[in-house]
Amino acid sequence: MSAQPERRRELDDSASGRDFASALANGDGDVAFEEVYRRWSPLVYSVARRALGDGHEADDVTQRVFISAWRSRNSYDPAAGSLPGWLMTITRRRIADRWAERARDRSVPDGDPPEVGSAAGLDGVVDRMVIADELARLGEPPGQIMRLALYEELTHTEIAERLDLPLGTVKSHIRRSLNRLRTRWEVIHDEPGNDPR
Amino acid sequence: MSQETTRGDHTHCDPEELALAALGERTDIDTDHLATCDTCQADLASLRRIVRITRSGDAADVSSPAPWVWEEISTEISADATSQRPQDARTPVSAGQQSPIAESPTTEQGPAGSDDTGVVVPLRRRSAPWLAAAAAVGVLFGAIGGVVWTQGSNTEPTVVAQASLEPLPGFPSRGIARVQSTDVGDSVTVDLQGLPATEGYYEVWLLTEDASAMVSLGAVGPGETSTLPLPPGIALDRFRIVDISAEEFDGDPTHSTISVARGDLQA
Repeated sequence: MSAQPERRRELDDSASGRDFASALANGDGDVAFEEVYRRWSPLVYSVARRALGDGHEADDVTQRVFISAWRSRNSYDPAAGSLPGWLMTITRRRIADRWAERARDRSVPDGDPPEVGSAAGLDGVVDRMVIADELARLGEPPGQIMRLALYEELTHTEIAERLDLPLGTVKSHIRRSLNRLRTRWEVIHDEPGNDPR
Repeated sequence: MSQETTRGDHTHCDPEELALAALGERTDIDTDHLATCDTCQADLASLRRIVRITRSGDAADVSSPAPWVWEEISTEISADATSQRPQDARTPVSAGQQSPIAESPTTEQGPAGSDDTGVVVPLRRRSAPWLAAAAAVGVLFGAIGGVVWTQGSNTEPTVVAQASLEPLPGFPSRGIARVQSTDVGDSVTVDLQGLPATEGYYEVWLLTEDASAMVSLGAVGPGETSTLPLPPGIALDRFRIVDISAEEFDGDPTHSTISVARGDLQA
């Protein structure tokens, strides 16, 4: 059983799929698309960066992703899936294209070795970056509380002491923030409904 | 505080305790209930999955693509909007409305026709010494001081650096700042969206990376594009952070410490 429709209201996306689709219908698609870019380009770029190990190539792939998205914009159906889910599908394809180009050219990329080299490995990168992107949007103090809880693995008591916050405040931030991360992850994940080019 | 919460007919585990349990903490969770309740088990499992994903690598940071990426996408979109889907193009700007000087810095959102004049500089292909060049132009020509190029010059401005302004916690505002160079001096054009209405005003600053020094460039209003002159000779490689602060009319000229958006200048 899924509680998604209810949970989804926790996310207040400034560039939601529904807004984008209605802007397209009204002929304001180019303005709405800039909003979409501003909201989601860090996620697209960060996934590409981890998959390719190089910032310049990640810039290039980000450009290709959004141009692909723009060209297939009329195939996007907000009822079939979320906007970031659709963008992540396009991102995977453009990264796969880049990998194929590298294999063909036998080119050795500059920069750090990439974290992954296969479509299956990419899933883990997308999952982690989706959550990191949402973490970065939690604001403070919830963001700091969650970084301490998730990455440094401090207990809520230790976090309360470290940040000089009441225990109850820390607990309630943890509950709300963890739910929000889960909702974001589910919204992007469980909807392979749109098939962009 | 109660350990349990009521949903409908059932008494489920306290959501706060479930969240802590998902993080691996020892909690006072109602284990008897958990053992028999599918809803609570599913809740806990899905929260655990999020924790597991997050901890499966080092702290993951999200960062933004270079500013030229949007410039190129936007050029592409403008071309598409007019050539492929004319019904989607916005109302064309008539010749009378078009002010070639005042509108040139922001034309990348306009129809493609106004876009092909080379205003959008392909930033990534620019060579590195833009900072020195920008500074030199400032030293040589900036002595006029306070003259904004849009008022005094017919020369096409060149965008030498720009910053994508990202919102800071609690504010939805974002935008873009472009440093432009002309033969009468340098300026910064700030285009901000989503600034909340204020009793006070918003102010544009250039900061050093560690915010140990800052220079005020002037005030901007919500929803408008503002062009502010740069102090002649300012070292943009040092003052590379564009910061927008919320200020009150309190007579205090220093930074309010409330920043609403910020970005890093890049060539």
